[in-house]
Amino acid sequence: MLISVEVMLNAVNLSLAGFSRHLGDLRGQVLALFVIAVAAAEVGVGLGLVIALNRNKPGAAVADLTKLKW
Amino acid sequence: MLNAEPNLSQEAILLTAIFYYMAGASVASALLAVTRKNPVHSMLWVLALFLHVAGIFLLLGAEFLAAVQVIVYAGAILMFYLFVVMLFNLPEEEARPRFGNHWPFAAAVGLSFAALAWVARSGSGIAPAQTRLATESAPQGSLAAIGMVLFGPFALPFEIASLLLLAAIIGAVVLATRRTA
Repeated sequence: MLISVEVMLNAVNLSLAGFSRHLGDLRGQVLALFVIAVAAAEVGVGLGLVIALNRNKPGAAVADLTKLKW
Repeated sequence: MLNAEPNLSQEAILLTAIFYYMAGASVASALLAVTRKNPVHSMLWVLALFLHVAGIFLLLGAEFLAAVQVIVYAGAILMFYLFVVMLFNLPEEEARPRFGNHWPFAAAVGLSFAALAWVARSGSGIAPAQTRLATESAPQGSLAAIGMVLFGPFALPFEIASLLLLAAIIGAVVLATRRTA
């Protein structure tokens, strides 16, 4: 599931770079750089969470993680 | 580029062909990454996707973005994912159903967004008609130009991004620490 988030972020980066090129404005590329930085932070925390969850309950399926539901 | 006319059009045709290859390969590897059962194979298709997207960045004149894409995404983030994926019990993961119950909704949303992009591309009223065209002469995406923007008007977001990364480092360490006491 997390890797699908990465794929979507890549799509957003691509459209940012494309519009940056189309409009002749560098701010789109800078925004894409920020998206990459935020994605790196998200990966760090997200995979830390996955490791912590995996330690308590093996498996990567999101559907099994019903313990956090209330 | 002060070449003769036929030479220039040949170059344009070559660039267009490269773009269509990169775009098609990106979409294909993204689809394969989502549908493969083995998570490691999935990760390798995502690697192919990242490299092709870096190629599209190069075609768009965003050289720095392409370098960051290869170094940060393909180098760091993907390796991290691979390490975590290898912690899982792979045969058990392969036996599971690949998609959740809501995947038709997700596919419908994705397809309608693609249709929207197609409509906007053909310019039938949805896309703004008068957009400023790119000035071909300006060297876009060069490191110097990006640095001027990044440390000029975007200095505060840049610092906030560094704070965010610091918070993420501390958070990851806190989350992944095994409590031995």
